[in-house]
Amino acid sequence: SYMGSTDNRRKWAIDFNQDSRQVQYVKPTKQASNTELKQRKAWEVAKAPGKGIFMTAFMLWMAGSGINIFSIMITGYSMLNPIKAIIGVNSTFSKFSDPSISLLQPKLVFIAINIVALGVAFYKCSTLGLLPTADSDWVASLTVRPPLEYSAGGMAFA
Amino acid sequence: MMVRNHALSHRLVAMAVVMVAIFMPHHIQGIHEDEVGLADWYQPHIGRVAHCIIDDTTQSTFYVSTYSRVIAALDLTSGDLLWRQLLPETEGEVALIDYHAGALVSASSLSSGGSVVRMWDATRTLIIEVESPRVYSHIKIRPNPGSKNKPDFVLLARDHIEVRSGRDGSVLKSSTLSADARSMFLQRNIVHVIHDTRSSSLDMDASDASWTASQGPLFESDLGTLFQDDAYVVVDSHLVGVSAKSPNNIVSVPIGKESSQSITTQHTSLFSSALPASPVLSVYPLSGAGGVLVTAQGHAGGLSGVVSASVNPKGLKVNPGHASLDPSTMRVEDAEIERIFSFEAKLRFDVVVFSDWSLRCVDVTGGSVLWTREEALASIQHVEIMDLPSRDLSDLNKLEKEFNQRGILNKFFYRIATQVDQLFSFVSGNQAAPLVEKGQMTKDQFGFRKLIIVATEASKVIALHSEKGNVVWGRNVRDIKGAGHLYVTRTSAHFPPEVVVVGQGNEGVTVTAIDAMSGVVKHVQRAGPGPLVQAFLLPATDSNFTRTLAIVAKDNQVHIYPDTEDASRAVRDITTPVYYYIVDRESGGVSGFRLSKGSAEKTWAASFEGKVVGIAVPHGKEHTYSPAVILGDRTLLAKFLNRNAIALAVLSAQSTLHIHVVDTVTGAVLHTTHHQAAAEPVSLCLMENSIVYSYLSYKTSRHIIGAIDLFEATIDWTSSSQPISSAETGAPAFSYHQTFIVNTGIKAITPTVTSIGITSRQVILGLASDQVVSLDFKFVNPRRPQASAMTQADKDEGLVPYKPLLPFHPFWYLSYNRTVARLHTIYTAPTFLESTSFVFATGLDSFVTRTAPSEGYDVLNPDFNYFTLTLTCIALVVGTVMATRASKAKDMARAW
Repeated sequence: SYMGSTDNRRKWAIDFNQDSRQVQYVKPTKQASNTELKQRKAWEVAKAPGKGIFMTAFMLWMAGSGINIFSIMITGYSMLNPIKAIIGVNSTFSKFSDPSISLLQPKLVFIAINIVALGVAFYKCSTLGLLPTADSDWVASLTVRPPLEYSAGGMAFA
Repeated sequence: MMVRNHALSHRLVAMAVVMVAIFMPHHIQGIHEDEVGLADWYQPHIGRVAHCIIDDTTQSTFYVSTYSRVIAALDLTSGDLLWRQLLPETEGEVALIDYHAGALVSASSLSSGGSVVRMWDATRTLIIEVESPRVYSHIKIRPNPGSKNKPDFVLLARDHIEVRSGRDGSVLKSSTLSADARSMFLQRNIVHVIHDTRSSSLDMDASDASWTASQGPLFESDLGTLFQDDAYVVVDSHLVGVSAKSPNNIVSVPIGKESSQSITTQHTSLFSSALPASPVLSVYPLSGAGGVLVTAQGHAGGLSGVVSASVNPKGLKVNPGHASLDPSTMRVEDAEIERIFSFEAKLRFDVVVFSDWSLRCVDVTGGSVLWTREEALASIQHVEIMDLPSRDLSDLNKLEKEFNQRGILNKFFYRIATQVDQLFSFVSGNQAAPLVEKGQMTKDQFGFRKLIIVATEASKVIALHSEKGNVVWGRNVRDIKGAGHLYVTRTSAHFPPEVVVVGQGNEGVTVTAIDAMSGVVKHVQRAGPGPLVQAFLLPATDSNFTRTLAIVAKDNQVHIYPDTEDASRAVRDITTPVYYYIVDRESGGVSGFRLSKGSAEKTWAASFEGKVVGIAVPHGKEHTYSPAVILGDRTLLAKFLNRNAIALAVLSAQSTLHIHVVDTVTGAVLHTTHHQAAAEPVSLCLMENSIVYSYLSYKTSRHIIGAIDLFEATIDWTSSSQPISSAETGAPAFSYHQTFIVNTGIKAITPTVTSIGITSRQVILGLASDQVVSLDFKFVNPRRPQASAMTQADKDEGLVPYKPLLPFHPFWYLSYNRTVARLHTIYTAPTFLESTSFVFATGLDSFVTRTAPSEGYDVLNPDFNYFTLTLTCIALVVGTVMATRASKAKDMARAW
């Protein structure tokens, strides 16, 4: 019925199709379903980056292994976005804040998924050779040690 | 469809290749014809002149024979070398020459005995070359006026005289004399031969059978008692020379006449004035005129003067032309006149050879020097390449003060103070006058402009400008025999820079300090009687920023230069342990010493069986950028680095060549490798952890280049920049070694050096053919893998697959189509451009060029379009300004 179409925002309703001409007051039990919605939405937001991972991975794969403007830009953005998202996690979930619900779980999931996305980007970096994982990347930190002793000489002149 | 696809891909690849070729400029090392002489110069030399003859027909060319086995034709008016013939090393030092009417004859002795007699035409074409079993002392052409044939010539050996044909060099006539001859001269058809107390004459037109000498008494006494130094000249049937009895007299003796009276004249009647206190008289014949040139010279304040007179049979007469010659115009730095070749009879020029080997042409009427050839440069023995000073030296002292400050704040304040000073002096306009005028004698932006200081066999030190090779100054270092050893005791960072020449002469060991900019001798220091064994720079400077120098004489007597209290205090205060080593070439012995508190103490001795044929030390200006080699798989290989290690090539009597790497502090032999059946030429060089050497393998009749790389076992990640002791360094953990076959002998190997050492390296080779080749180190990299064993990592690293044969690409020849005659040593120096190394090749000739082993990655091409760049920048700025205005105007309009 119309009533059953659950519009819990209305405080009251008159149904003229019915003869009782009574005002039906909506019960304030809808509060619970509101928080439930927030929770659900929070979860949706938390899981959203997950869908993007595959797209990002595909884009990164398409960018190829050569270092050029596209691969650098795509890699850069795919690294930057998760980091930005992780930093802005509180503001992202602020609209769902409600004292009666805990956003910890969705936040953690959000962060986790973004970390996975970051991992994908890092993997791309490593395939591009941009991660300082090899010995040769640290060669600049090696110093040539000067000799302690001073030595000179050569063939005898006479 | 497939086929078409295939064709398309091929076309794409071809297009890509073409595009790459177009957009990769200067990928080729060789130079174009129009680039010859831009970055390089070449100077041919002839050496110290021994004989000189003028072309009496053209009178513009003269021919010389030198102590460097060279016969050359020079232009009399300019001194330019017209042509030059190098005689083989197997021949004696000096060739006898004579010239007449388009024919130049020469005779030079062979080391195996006998002589080679040659005839050349005036354009250096060899016409005749015959060998003779005799060694000649005189050669004379018999003029044949009116004949089109080449003239015959007469040769005198000790007691043998022969006439050779100008057609084929065959002996036409010969005769054995009764006694050894001292000299010979021709008079029309008569050959006069002078013996000790007799003269003989032979008629060249006489028939073969009667070609014997008719003798006559000449002198009452021996020639040696008559003339000083056995030196005399023949003029118009007279022998003229300086009297042995009284050196101030000239003796004139008629030849072949019964009455052998000599006429003597005192020189004081010859020379009116300007004679030094104790003159050295010498006499020279004047061609044609029947006169003689008498010169007197001596030292008065470093001046050499020459005055002359002519002699005729009746006596001596002052030649007014010569007498007016001003001694001061003959001024050369402390050099004496060695020989004068006078062409005065027909020309007004003298060609004078000085004791510093320089050859000068003097106008005898005006006394001016027309040209000078600095022939000491034919005998360069030691080289130091210096940077020229900066123009802003006046600020240098302040900078020094600034950098000597401790603490960042102090340094910062001094920086500000210096700059405020500079600003004030700039505004007020009374800037301190620069010590060096801007121009050739200041350094340039790229550090290509350098001063090449050379020490020559003529005891002369010469500074050459690196740009065109002109002589900046020359200094004849007295009291030194042969070439001195050069040390830069003050670099151009401190003005004036200073070089020190250490050498030995009659007065013992002499240390001469010379201002490197002007060539003025600043200080002469005696360092004991010698003999001089070694000299080396010490790691200490005195308060004038002069590097101290240790001079080691026999029995390890150590002297310090400069001999001031200041310097000896600086030496006493050295905290670094100082060692030195001395290698004995013949015995193969190497000894190490420790120098402490001015006295030497022997610390080690090593003996290698054989003769030391090569020694390689790290280049003084070598800079190691990284202590590890990066491999293709991005792992590291730790280089074995020991600045105190040297490489020695020792050739044993059994023809085994040993390459030893020796630590000169501890005396430890760090690495040894050997080759059997090896022979000279051997040359080697040492750079960082690599040794490149060459030798002749006589068993296989091949010239070999070998390369050794030394490595440590592991990378020391924890290492600090603390100094490391040789004792701690130890021996290399492992090494790579490879040899390559080259199709030419190698006389010199030198690695390139760059200022920071990032640029890949080349080894500069001096070939037996006197050419200079730059060989990329990657071709002599001992880690070149076998083609079959080549891994992806090797490919990524850019290693070239090993091939035993190492051909030289034509583009590698730095000397392009030139040869540097008798190439001896190659020197390299860094420039301010990291990509570029400076190369100086010496021998009889000198050659300077630059090489960029990784190409000129830090410079724009010379044809870079600066105009377009400027135009684009201006257009962009203008465009930006205009666009900003337009956008503002539009915003305003919209707002309204």
